Amino acid sequence: MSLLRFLPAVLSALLFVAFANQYPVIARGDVLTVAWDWLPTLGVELAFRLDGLSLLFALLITGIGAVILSYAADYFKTDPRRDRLQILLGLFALSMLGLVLSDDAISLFLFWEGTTLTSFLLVGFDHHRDVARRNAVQALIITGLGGLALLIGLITMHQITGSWRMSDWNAAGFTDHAAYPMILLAVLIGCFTKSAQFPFHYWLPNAMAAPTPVSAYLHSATMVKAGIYLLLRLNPALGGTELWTMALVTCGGITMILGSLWALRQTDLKLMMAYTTLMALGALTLLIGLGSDKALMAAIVFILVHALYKAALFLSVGMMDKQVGTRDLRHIHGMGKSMPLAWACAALGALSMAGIPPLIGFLGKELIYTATLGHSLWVSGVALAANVMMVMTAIAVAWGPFVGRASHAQAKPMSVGLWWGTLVMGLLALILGSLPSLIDSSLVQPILAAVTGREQSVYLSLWHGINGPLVLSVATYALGFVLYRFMPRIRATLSDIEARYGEMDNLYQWKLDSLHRVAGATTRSLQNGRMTFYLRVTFGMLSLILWAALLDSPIRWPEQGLALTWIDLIVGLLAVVGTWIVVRTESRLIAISALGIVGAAVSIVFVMFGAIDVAMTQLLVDTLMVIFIAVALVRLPRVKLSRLTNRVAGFIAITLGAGVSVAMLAVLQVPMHLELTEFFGQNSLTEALGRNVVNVILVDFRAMDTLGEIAVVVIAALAAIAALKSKPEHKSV
Amino acid sequence: MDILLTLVTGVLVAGASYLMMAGTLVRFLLGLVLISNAVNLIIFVSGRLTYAGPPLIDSASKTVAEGAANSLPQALILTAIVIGFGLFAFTLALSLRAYSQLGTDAADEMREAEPEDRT
Repeated sequence: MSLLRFLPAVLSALLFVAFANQYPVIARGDVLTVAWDWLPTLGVELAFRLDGLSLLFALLITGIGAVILSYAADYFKTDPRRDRLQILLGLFALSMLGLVLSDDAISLFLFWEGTTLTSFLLVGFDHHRDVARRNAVQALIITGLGGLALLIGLITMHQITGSWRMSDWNAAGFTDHAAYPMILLAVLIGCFTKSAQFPFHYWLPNAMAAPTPVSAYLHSATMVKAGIYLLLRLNPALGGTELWTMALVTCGGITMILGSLWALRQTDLKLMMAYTTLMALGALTLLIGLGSDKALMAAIVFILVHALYKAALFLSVGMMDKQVGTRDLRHIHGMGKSMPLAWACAALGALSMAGIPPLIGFLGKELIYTATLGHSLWVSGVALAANVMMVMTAIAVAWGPFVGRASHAQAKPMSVGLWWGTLVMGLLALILGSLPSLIDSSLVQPILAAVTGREQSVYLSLWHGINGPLVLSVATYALGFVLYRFMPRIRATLSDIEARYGEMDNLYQWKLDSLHRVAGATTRSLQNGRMTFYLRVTFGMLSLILWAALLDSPIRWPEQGLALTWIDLIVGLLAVVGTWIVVRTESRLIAISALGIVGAAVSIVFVMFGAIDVAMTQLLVDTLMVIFIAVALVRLPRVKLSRLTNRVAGFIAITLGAGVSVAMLAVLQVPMHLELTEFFGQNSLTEALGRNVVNVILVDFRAMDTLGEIAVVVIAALAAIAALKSKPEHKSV
Repeated sequence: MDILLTLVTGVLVAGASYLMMAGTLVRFLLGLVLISNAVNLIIFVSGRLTYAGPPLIDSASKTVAEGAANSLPQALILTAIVIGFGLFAFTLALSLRAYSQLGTDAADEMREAEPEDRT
């Protein structure tokens, strides 16, 4: 077995080391920037900026990336699609890194879309499964539309400040600007779709169609935090208003409750994890919405907390899936003895999720309670309810499958790639939780400075004495343990509710189906296969555009034209009467003859006004056309032409004809520019040695044009021969 | 005269488009011939009419005489006539073929590519 499969993991680990190397610099409170011109005319740069917030995300992306890539290498050990998975994961990791490092909003947006696209490809990784394809498209549509909304917000902020740099935006601030509600709405739609906030949350559980390493990486630890990241990043520019707090606390709170409640309903361990991710994302949004320093600090710590425990739990579920063959918690129990490593990983993750000291989850939960108690009782109630359900979920995932009588035979030993990283993350949750001073002033403090725009010292510790948050924590454990006993009953009740009221997903499907129906109906009515309809639309639109342009400027009757003679009148009359006959006659022979008359009248016009060559060609071609039609009519049906009585077509034809006349009158009143004609007249003999200027133009000045024309005629002739000579095909039924 | 010609052109366009919208192959072809003539007239009149001689250089001079007819529209119309003729010939062949293949002269009944009952 080649060790080459661990190369991506090693590369990611090297990047992690490189970023970790900057840790002391950032800890000092410095910010690293680098920028290259990209589209100087538009003011767009490739501008990157490494501050505390970017560093936290960069470390998570590369660190968890190394773990996931190594996990994926062994998860897909013998699968031929392993390379594809690792390449996509690598592309995603790079996009995500670019996203969190960009200072330029256009680069940020491109990387943002990069993560959307790679997420689409990864959710649909098992492309032979219908559900994977469907859910991949759903994720793409929702996050893609959100991305468009975000782009509107970004462009508006650029137009106000004249800069694409988010650091400039944060310095300027938009909260007093008239366009603020619009900007906020656009940015929030972008962030809420990306981070799966209510009412866009339903794509995230569906994204679990992806392989487990993907779910653990994109849809829990990193990509879904992109929206959270941007909210934090733009907090100085957009945050702190009533509108901001209201929107974020409401949507975040609902997502939090929905996520934790629906997690209880699941029997698939992976789906359960997906819903707890919703809870975590909701909690983060809510905390950012509260906006106090305590709340923002809680959000920052909770990002780290959640990334560590959730990735560990996901990967443990993946191990179980891999070793046992199912993820259904009703069918797995007693596997602790045969899978001690998976149990250790799951236990560490679950302890952190439940917020048991001394794991870092305890710290996160205490900070959340501190923040919510500082705001209001009902927000604290929401947090308490969600956390109680987290405790229940934690027991369900780390206790149920591992204790009791073994449900499956001895599992085969696990590859090292599967468990080392998971265990490291679990242990990290333990170490950082026990020694929070490792990160407080060096990491959380610079992040808080980046998010609030103010320097302030941060001090974290496990023990704060007996206070409100600790009381809430104890209540959380107690309620969680008690309610866990009623888990099956709660699950049944939730299933009933789901069956009765349906899911948001159905609404999405209905909207999508409606779109298809409307599109289908539009296509069927517009492209109905009737040529008369197509021609009416074409001529009608032409007439409409013509008249719209004409009515835009005043129409004047030309002051003077050329004098009218008897000959002119006769020629004009010939053409008009000829046309009239062609249209009205029911005899084909008369129609052809009248057509010849019109052609002859046009030729006479050419002769009268000095276009001898044109007249000769016209007469020749006109004769040929009439002969052609006469010959063709022998083969065409012998039916008489019925009298035309179509009013709609008549109306369109008359408006179009009138439009052409008026347009020509308008053209005649515009001064004529004769520069080209003069050029041809002066250079025809000296440059091209020809005395007939029209001929010289055709064969010399515009020779390439004429060559093209000849080619067109030849092609038309070839095609005509093909159409006439080939044997008729039989209709396929 | 030029004002009269704008009106004549309008009549030609109206007649031609009406014929083309009638929905039978024969009338479509008649309309195509008419509309080619109309377009040529549009180009010609837009280049301004003069009762002058053709744009020829006589043997005594090196440039076109003052006031000769505008040469550029004439060159363009010549191209247009030929292209129009090619288009007409091809459409004619196609119509014949369509009739022998589908057995109908009515354009709306030719629904091989877009059948009525497709969903």
